[in-house]
Amino acid sequence: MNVSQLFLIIFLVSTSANAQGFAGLGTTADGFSVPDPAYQLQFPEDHGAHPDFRIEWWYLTANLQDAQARDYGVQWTLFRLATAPSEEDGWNSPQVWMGHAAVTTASLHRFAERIARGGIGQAGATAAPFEAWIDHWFIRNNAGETTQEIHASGDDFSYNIKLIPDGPIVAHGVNGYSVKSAEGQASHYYSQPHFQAQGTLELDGTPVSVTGHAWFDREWSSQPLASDQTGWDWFSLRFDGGAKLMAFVLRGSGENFTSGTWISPDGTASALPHGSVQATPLFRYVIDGRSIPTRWQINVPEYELSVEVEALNPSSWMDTSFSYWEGPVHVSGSHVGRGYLEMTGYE
Amino acid sequence: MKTRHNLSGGFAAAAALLSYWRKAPGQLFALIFGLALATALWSAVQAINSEARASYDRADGHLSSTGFATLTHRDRPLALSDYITLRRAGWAVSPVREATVALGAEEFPIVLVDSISHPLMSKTTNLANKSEGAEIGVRSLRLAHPSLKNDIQGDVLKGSFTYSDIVPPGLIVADFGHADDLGVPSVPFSYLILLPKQLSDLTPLVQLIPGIITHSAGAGLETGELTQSFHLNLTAFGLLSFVVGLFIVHSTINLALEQRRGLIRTLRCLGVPFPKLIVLLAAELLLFAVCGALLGVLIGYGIAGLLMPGVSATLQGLYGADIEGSLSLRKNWILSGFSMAILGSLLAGARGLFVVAQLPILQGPAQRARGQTVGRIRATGALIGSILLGCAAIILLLSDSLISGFLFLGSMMLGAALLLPVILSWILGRVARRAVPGLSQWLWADLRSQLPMLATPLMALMLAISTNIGVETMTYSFRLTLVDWLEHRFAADLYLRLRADDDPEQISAWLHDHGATALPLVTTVIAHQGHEISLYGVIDHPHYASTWPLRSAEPDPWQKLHAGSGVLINEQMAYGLNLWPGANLTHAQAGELRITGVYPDYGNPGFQMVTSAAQVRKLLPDYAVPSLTILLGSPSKTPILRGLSEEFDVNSTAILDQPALRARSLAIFDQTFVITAALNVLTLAVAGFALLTSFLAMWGQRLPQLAPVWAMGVPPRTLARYELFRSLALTVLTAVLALPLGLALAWTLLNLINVQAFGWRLPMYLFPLSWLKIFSLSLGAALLAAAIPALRLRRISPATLLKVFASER
Amino acid sequence: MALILNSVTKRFAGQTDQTAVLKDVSLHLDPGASLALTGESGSGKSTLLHLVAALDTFDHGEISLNGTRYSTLSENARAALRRRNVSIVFQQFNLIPSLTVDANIALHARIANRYDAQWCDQLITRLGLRDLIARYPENLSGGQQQRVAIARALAVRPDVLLADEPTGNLDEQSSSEVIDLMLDLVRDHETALFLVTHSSEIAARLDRRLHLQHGRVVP
Repeated sequence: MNVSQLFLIIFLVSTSANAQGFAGLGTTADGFSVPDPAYQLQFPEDHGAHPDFRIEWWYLTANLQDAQARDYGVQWTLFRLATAPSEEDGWNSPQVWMGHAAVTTASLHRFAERIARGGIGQAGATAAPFEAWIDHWFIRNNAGETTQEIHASGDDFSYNIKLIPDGPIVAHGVNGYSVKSAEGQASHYYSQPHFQAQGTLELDGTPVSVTGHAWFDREWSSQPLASDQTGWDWFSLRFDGGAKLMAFVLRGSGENFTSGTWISPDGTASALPHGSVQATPLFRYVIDGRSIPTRWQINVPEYELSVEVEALNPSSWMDTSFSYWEGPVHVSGSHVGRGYLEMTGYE
Repeated sequence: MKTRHNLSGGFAAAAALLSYWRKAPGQLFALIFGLALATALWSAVQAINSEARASYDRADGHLSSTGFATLTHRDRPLALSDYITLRRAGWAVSPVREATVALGAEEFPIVLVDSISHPLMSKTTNLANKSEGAEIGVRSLRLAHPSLKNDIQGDVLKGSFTYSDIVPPGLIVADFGHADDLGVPSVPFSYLILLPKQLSDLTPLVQLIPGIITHSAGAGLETGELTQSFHLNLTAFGLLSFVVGLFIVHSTINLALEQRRGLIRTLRCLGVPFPKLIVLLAAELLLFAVCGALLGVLIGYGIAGLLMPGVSATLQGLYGADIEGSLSLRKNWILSGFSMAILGSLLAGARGLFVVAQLPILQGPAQRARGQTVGRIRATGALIGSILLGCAAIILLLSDSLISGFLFLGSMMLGAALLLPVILSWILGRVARRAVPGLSQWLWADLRSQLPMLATPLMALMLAISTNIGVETMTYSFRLTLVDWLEHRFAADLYLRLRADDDPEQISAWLHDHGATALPLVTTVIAHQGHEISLYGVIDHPHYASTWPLRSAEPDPWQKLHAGSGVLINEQMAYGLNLWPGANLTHAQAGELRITGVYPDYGNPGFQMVTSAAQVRKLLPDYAVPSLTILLGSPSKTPILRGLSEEFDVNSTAILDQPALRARSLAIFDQTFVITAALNVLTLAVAGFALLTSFLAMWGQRLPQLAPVWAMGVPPRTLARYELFRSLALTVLTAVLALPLGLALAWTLLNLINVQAFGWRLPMYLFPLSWLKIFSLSLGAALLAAAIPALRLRRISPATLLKVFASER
Repeated sequence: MALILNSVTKRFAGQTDQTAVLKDVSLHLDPGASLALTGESGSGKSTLLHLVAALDTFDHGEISLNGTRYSTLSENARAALRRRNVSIVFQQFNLIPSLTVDANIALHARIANRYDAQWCDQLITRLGLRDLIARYPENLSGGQQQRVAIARALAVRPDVLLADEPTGNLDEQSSSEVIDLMLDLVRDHETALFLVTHSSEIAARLDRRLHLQHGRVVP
C-alpha cells in the first residue's frame, strides 16, 4: 500500500484532518462511545463488532514449528476504523476495514494488506457464528465445533491454520477494562491466549506443516491513547511452565505507562498495575533509518521474572498503511519460552 | 594589465572577423536561416509529438477504465452480491456503474466507483494533496470535470463538487457512497474492473459466477500502437529533416571560414595569437547557433501551430486519442530544439575549424590549398561513406532489434550521402570525356570542377529527396493497406452490438425473414503461454472467405476453418508466438489447433484467433455473442434499421454503419497526408535553399572562370543559361541517385522498424507518380536556386568581367 | 637597441645547406635607419622579411630585436612581437575588405592595444587619406591601398617597419611619393625601415642597401 492510501485512511479515521498520536488513536472521541469500567464482557456478543466505538481489532499471533523444529511466526489482524459512530448497511457505511497478515521466519518476513469498506459484506465481524473477514481472509468458528480456523494469503505466502482452545478466555485490567494512561484513557480488552495451533503455511508455493500455540486478542476503544502518547511496545509471552505474560509500555512525552496481566498455568489472570512491569531495550536494530529495539530485558519482580526477549527476525517490519514492527520472539532467563512482540510509533 | 590588453585586442580581432558578415549579408542570412529552418522542422515535429503525448497523459490520467480488463455477465447485469462473491474468493475487482445524474435542469453522465478498490484512486488522493482544502475520502469523492463548473454548481441541494481534470471531459465521478445523495441507484453495476495484479491459484471466475465474461483491456483501434507508430515515423522524419538542415549549415559555415582565410592570416600577421582566433571563431559559431535556434524554435512553433489542428483531428479520429487542438510552449521541445541547433552547428563547424587550425600562417595561394584540402576530405568522405554502408549491411545481416533498425537506417543514409560526390564526379568525368570538344566539353568539365564546392548542398538535396520518397512511399503504402483492410474487414453493411439481454437467435431470425443475413460473432478469451488471446467464432458463410484479407495461408483456409480443422490468427500473434501456417498450437481447453492462415490486424496490440462458431460453442462454453454482422442483400437500410429499433428496441448507437465508418476513417487518415505533404515541401525548400546559398557563395569564384569564356565570345545570356543547366543537371543526377535510397528507406521503415516496434509488417507499394511529383518539386527548387545567380549573370556589365583580368596578378 | 641578424640560415623541406633559401645572413639595423634589400626573384628576399617579421622560423643563427632573441620565443610570444614590435606592409596590402579605411588603419594598433587616435589622425593627414577614411578597400586605387597599409603598419609605432615590394603595384610617381613618406615617417619616429625591392632607384634612396643572391648577402 502506498502513502496516498494512508492519507485516505487517516482522513477516514480522524474527522479533524490532524492525526494525533499513532494512527490518530490519540484524538478525542466526539460522538463515539467511551469504554465503561462498569461494563461486563458478554460472549459471544463481544466477539463481534462494536461500531459505536472508533477503533477495534481482532488480532491473532501464533508461534509455530515445522517437523525440523524451525520457528515460524504467523500474524492475522483485522482492524475496524469508523468515521462516525454508527453502522449502516450499504455504501453509506462509515466503517472501513483493514486486514494485515504476515508469516515470519528467521530469515523471511512476508506480509500483505487488504482494505475494504463496511456495509456491503466485503469485510466485517459477526459474533454468532463467529467470523471476522476481509475479502478472502477470515478467522471463523468451525461449524459444530469449538475450534476455529484462519486463512490469509498474499503474493508470496498463504496459510490455513486450525485453532483448538485449551484454556479459558482472559480479561485484562479490571473485568476487561484496560487503562492506557495516567489520564484514564482505556479500552475494552480480552484475550484467548490458550490455543493449540496446527495447519499448513506456504512460502513461495512450498507447503510446510506446522504446529504450535496461538494467542488471540480483542480490543476496542474510541481513544486508547493519551494525546502525548506516541506508540507502544506490547509483549505476549508464553513460558514453558505454562504461565503467560501480557505486558505493554505506552511511550509518551512524559512518563511511560506500563501495564500487563500475569496468567498462571491454570488460566487465572492477575492484573499488573502501572509500574509493576519493567521493560528496558537492550539492542536497537536499524530498518530503513528507523531505530527499533529488537532485544529487551523484561522484569516483573512480583513474579520473580527476569527475562531477555529477542526477536526471531529483527526485520519484521510491517510496511503497511500504518507501519509498525510485529514478529515472533524467544524468551530466555528466569523463564524460557516464545511469544510475540509489537512495537508502534517508531516512524 | 595584461588581461585588459588581451581583452581589448580580442575585441578588435572579433570586430574584424565579424565585419566580414557586413559584406556578406546573404551568407549570414543563409547561415542563420538555414540553422533556423533545420531547427524549425525538428522542433515542429517535436512540438507536435510532445503535445500529442501530453494529451495522452491527460487522457491516461483520467479516472477511466480504459486499459483495464472488465467483467460483465452474459445473461444479466452484475449485482453487489457478485462483487462480494469475487472479492471473498480473493479476486481483485472493483465495481463501476455508469449512469446519468440530474443536476439542475440537465442530466449529466456520472461514473460511480468504489474509492477504496478502484485502481486509480491514488490519483485522486494526489489531487487532494495538491488542491487546497479539497477533502477526498471514501465518502467525499465527488469530482467533476472543470468544464461542467457552470452547469452544475447551481444545484446546491445535491452538494458541491471538486473540479478536476483528472476526470474525463464532461463527466462526473463519485463514490458509491454519494449515490443516494445524488439520486442515482447504485446497482446494477455496468461492469467490474479486473485489476491486472491477481493472486495465483484463485478459483476460476466462471466457476464462481457461471456466465461471467472477461473483456480484455483495450481491444480494437485505441490509443496505442498506431499512435506510437505515427509518432515514430514523425520523429524519424524530423530527424532526417534536421540532418538536411545541418548540411546547409555545414556548407555555409565552411564557406564563411574559407572566404576568411586571408583575413585570418592577416590577423595572425598582425599578432593575434592563433588559439584566440580559434576561440573567437567558435564563439561566433555559438552566437549564430543561438540566434538560429531562437528563430528556429519560433518558426517551428508556427509550423506546428498550423499543422496541429490536422494532427489533432487525425489522432483523435483515428485512434480515439483525445488531443486538444491547441499548442503550448513546452520546455522539453524548446530545449531539444536548442540543443539540436547548438550541437548540430558545432558539429557542422568542427571540420571547418579543424581545417583552419591546420593551416600554416604562411600559405601559398589560397586557391591551391583549398583545392587540395577539399580533394582530400572528399576522399575521406567517400571512405567513411563506404565504411558506413558496410556497417549497414552487417547490421542488416546480424541483428534484428529496433535499435539496430535505426542504426541501419542512419548508416545507410549517411553512407550513401557521403559517397554522392565521388559518384557524381565519376559520372561527370565520363560524360566530359565523351562530350563534343569545345564549349560542351568545357561545360561538363566546369561542372565537375565545381563539385567540391557543391558537394554538401547536393548531399543535403539527396537526403531530402530520398527522405521524401521514403516517407511518401511509406505513407502511401500505409494508406493503401489500410483502405484495403477497411474495405474487407468492414465489408458488411451493418454491424450490430448486442446487449446482455438481446437474443441473437431471435434477431437473426427476424433479419432472415426480412431478407437480410445475420452473421453472429461468438467470442471468448483464452490464455496461452501467458498471453490473453481473443478467440472469435464465425459461422459458415462465404462472406468471410470473399472479404477477409489474409497475409499468408495454407490452401483452402476457410474450408478447413469451417470444418473445424484450422484456425486463423492475426499477424501480431504470428510474430509474437512465431506461429505460421502449418504450425500447431496446443491449448488445454481448446485442444490441438492447426494454424491455417495469418491475417493483418493493424493497430490491435493484442493477439487474436478466428475459428468456427461451432468449435467455440463446443469447446469453450464460456462464450458470448457480442455482435451481429448484417448483410443487407436486397432490402434497403432504412426499413431494417427502423425494424430493429421497433422490434428489439435497438438504439442507433448500437449499430455501426460500416460504409460510413470506412469513409470517416479514410477522411481522417488523409489528414496525416496533409501533414506529411507539408513537411515534404518544407524539407525540399530547405534543400533548395542550401543550393541557392552555395550558388551565391560561389559567385565570386565563378567570375574568373566565366570571364575567359565570355572573352572568347560567349554572351552573358548563354552563360546564364549554362548556370541554370548546371543546377538542373546536378539535381537530376542527384534525384536519380536518391530514388533507390528513398526506396530503401521506405523498405526499412515498413519491414524493419515497424515490425520491430509493433509486430506487423506493411506491404510496400511503389508509386512512380509520387516520385515524379518529388522530382518536379526538386527541379523547381533547383531552378529557383539557380535563378538568382543566372539573372545576375544575364545583367552583368562587361566592366565587372573585365575587372577579373585587371585584378589578375 | 637594434635589429641584429647573425648567420641566419633557413631551409625549406628537402633543401640542403647548399641549396638553402638563406645562408649565413647577418646584418645590423639601428633605430631610425633604413635598409633596402634587393635581389632577383627567388633570391630569398621575402623569406628573410618573413623571418624578421617572426612569421616563420629559421634553422641556424639568431635574430634579435632590442635584445629579444627570436629563437627563444614561443608561438604566443612571436604573436606578441608581431603585435607590438614589428609591422609589415604586404605587397598585396592585405587590407580587411569588410572594414573601412579608418577601421583598417586602427586595426593593428587596437589588436596591440596601442591605439592612439591622435597619432592615427596624424598618419591619415600625412598619408593624404583624409577624404578616403569612410571608404572600403575595394573602392581604392592601388596607391591608396598601399598608403592605408602603411598607415596601419605605422599606427602601432613599431620598432621595425617591414615592407615587401611596397611599390610593386604602383606607377613611378606614386612609388616615389610612398617612399618619401615612409622615409619621413621612420626618421621622425626612430623606427627602423627594412624594405624589400627589386628597384635600384628606390634602394638608392635608403641609408643602406643589401643584395641577396641565391640566399647569400653579396657586397
